[in-house]
Amino acid sequence: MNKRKPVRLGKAAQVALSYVALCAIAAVTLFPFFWMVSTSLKEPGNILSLQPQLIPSPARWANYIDAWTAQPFGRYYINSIVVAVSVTLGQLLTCSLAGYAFARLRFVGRNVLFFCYLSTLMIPSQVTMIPVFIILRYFGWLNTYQALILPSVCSAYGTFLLRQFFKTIPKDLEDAATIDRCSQFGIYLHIMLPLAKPALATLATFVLLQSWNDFFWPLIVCHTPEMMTLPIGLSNFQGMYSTSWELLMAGAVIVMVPVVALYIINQRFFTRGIVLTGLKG
Amino acid sequence: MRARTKAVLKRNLTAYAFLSPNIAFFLVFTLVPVFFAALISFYDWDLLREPIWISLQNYRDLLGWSVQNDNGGAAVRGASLFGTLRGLEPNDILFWRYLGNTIFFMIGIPFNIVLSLMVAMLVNQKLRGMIFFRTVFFLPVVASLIACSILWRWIYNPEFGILNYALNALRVPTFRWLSDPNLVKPAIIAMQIWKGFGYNMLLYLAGLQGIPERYYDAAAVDGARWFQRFWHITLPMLSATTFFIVIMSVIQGFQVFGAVYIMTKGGPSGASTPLVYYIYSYGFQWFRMGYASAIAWVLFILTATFTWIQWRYGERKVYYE
Repeated sequence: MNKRKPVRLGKAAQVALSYVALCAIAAVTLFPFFWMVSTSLKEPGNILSLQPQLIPSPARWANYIDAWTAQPFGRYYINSIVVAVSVTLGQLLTCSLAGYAFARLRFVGRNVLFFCYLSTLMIPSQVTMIPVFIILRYFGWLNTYQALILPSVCSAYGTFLLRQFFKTIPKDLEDAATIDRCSQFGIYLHIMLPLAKPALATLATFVLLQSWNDFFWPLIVCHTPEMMTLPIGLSNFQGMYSTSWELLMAGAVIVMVPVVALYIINQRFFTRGIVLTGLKG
Repeated sequence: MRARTKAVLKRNLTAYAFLSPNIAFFLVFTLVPVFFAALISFYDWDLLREPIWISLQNYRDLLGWSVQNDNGGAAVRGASLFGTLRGLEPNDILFWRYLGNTIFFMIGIPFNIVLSLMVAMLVNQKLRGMIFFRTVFFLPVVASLIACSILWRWIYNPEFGILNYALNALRVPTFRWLSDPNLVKPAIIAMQIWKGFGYNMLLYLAGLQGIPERYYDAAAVDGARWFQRFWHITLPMLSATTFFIVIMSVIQGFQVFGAVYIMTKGGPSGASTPLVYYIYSYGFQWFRMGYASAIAWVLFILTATFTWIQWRYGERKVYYE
């Protein structure tokens, strides 16, 4: 009996130590967010004080209205939603069609083509950005939705992800459908797509997040506030109000809230996406 | 026989019908641009006038070294950085400097890996509230990079930032984080670790959950201590995950841009400018498409070489079950 006691104490100490470490790291992780919200609610005069208040009193909610009216955030929101939703739907369509073909259909040049797709995964986007910029400029599409959406409508990564998923679906299902005289498109639409729902949801979450937070490409092709997405608008906002920290922080909260809320509600798909990305290697 | 040919033809047509939307976008926005970019890099082109073929001149200007005049501006700037190498000076001193910055930013990778592995092991315990902690640690990953960068610029603010306030309260010297050429890169690295460790934590967590419990049981029977179990079971079993994380981190390390653009604009005087920022400046601020494409291609080749080296020498250290 005596021998076991220290072990138990050790266990309890280990648990306690774990919690202390976890709470410390969580505090460091969360504090910047807390500070962002806290700053966003302060009186403009209280920001530049040498004794910062942790919790502002009184909270000045009007900062959010001021930020919202100082920049066309409503417009930025619409642009971001239009772009993110179109890109996501586009990728779901093109990548699932191609992923299915690569996984299940036999055709001339399949391996060569698939190898082409895979090798482009390595290429940094900066290489293709310059020519794509020139191509879009040639079409007169700079500063339009086309420029924001079309270059991201198909991705080698999405195609690869869905191909891997379609490969795991048992062949029997398909054979049964073929006997029932189902066309290839029928098999894709009625059998494969419903089965692929989890993979599609994962890809959708991943693409939505990426598109929502994308910065470099919209920075290059958007020139006027009417076409800016949220990250560019926020960067623009910073350029104009570089020291109005309470407004900048309110703007940062405005940009962050939808994705963070979506993440907290729908964590499953976010984390699964990451784990699947991990399998890519 | 004819019927069979027909069937084969139909099969191929069906497949390509499935592929056609994807291939169309892939050609226009990926495959053609890659070769187009290579072509542009041999031209001098400002988008206004006709492009002029200058063969390898862009690459010579970017990567070459030559004997410079003593009163040349580049020579003076170069001397302070490299000294003279038998009178040779780099033609584009800034490229080398920004390449150095880019590689400097990768110093954050090992810190990130150690932290995320530690946190993953903490979170992997069967204790209450682990889902909450996981959610918290992953939060910065989903938050907008631009919003986070502005937030950290505020935290690092030299006069009124909370960081300097806290240091001051602890009677520790304070710093001008983002305007000090020696501190700006570590400051950005710290922000990137905060932003990104949750991602690697999740990968490690998946890896940890894939280690069969029986290995630890066997080790416990043999009387292995905590550290021995960690060193001989956990680390080897996670080597594939680590390998993947290192490769992806280095590839992403070559892509740093957004945080720098918001926090410092590459300053003070280029101390935090990464290569992608240089591409952005040449391509989209000064509209020198040829030179920008040349930098982009060099970046591509660097990324590919680094990845290949890691693949070549890292793969054999990976333990596959």
